Amino acid sequence: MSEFVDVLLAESELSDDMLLRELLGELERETTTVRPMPSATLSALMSPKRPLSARVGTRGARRRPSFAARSAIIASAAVIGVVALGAGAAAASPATRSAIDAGVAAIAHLFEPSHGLGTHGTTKHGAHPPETHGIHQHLSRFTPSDGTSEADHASRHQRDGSQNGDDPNSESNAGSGLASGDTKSDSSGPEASGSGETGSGASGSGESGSDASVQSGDTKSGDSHGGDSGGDSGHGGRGDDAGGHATNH
Amino acid sequence: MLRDPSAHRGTSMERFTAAYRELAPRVLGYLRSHGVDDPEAATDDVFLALHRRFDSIEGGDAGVRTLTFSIAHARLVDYHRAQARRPMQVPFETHEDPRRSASAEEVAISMVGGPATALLAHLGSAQQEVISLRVIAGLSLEETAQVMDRSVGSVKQLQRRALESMRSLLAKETIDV
Repeated sequence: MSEFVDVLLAESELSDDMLLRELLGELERETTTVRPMPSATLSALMSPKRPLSARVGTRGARRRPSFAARSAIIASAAVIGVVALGAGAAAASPATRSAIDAGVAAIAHLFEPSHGLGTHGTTKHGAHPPETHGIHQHLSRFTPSDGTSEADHASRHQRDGSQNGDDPNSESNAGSGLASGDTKSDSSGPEASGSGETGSGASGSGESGSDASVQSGDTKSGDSHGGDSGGDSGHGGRGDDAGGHATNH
Repeated sequence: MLRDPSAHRGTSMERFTAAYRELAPRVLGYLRSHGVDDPEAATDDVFLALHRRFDSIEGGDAGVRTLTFSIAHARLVDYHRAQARRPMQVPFETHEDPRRSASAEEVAISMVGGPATALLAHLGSAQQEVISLRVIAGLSLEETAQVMDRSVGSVKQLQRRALESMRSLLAKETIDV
């Protein structure tokens, strides 16, 4: 028997009415035996929420790409950037393209084997190995001048080369700065003497002159050869003498 | 006065679940005893309304119970008002059709609604309300007065008359049997 029924009967002074007590007890039992089924909305309100990790797991967490994948992405971006830069340079003005070509040629010259060997040659005069031009330049910087300039040596070598047709170096000498130095001494003597006034500047111009002679080969432009002879004279510390020789010749 | 011990502690959701577990059968019986068509849906509505105000309830378990049956009483009043406004419907009178046989659902419903509930239907609406709130909902005299928006003395008078009517009906039925 429920306590509610007892309290109700006590308040109404009907506690001794057993029939009424039984009736009210039956009424309570009839009406409260059925438990309702909560709706979906109500069930959601009463069910505990799932943890965050479970929800993330069901969605599929985004994983960080591996190191190899990231490296591939970075490398791809770098390649694309270089290709784009090359395309942009190709589409640039002709002056820009020529400047780029000159830069590429200068870099290629640095990696040529003849450039490295020529700096270590030991021959002085007479028969010249293929790297004679570089060796000659190098030696002329440290050998005291005996009154004759490099232009004299160059003209002598030029004559020897033309006379000795079996000389294997004659062809290369003819195309090198030595042979062209002769022609230049005639045409651009004042320029050579002017560059010989400053030692360091002369050496720089001499280097560029030799580079130009290697690149141009047969063309032998007057300016470049003049720079070559002037550079040689400047390094020798006798730029004026060299200029004098050049003008005398 | 909730019997579930978990109703006294835990999170808001746990307390609400305990209140539902304890009070839902009584709310359902209260609504069914007053002739609501779909008492289970009405019970759901009552607890959804309770959930919105659950965290602001004061008075502990007694406050939860009082508010729950206040909402149920309001739903019941709304239901009867809606029934009064609704046009009169003439249902198909199956009980007058001799070809019918009781379905399983009817059998189950007849098992739920026993003679005590049928006896309650013979009372007046106010007396019926007081008895259902005191016996089915388990409210005290003061809580019943609060739900019905009446004075305690008025509720006490109504309950005394309701019990006397039930006793007389029961005595008459016993004599008839």
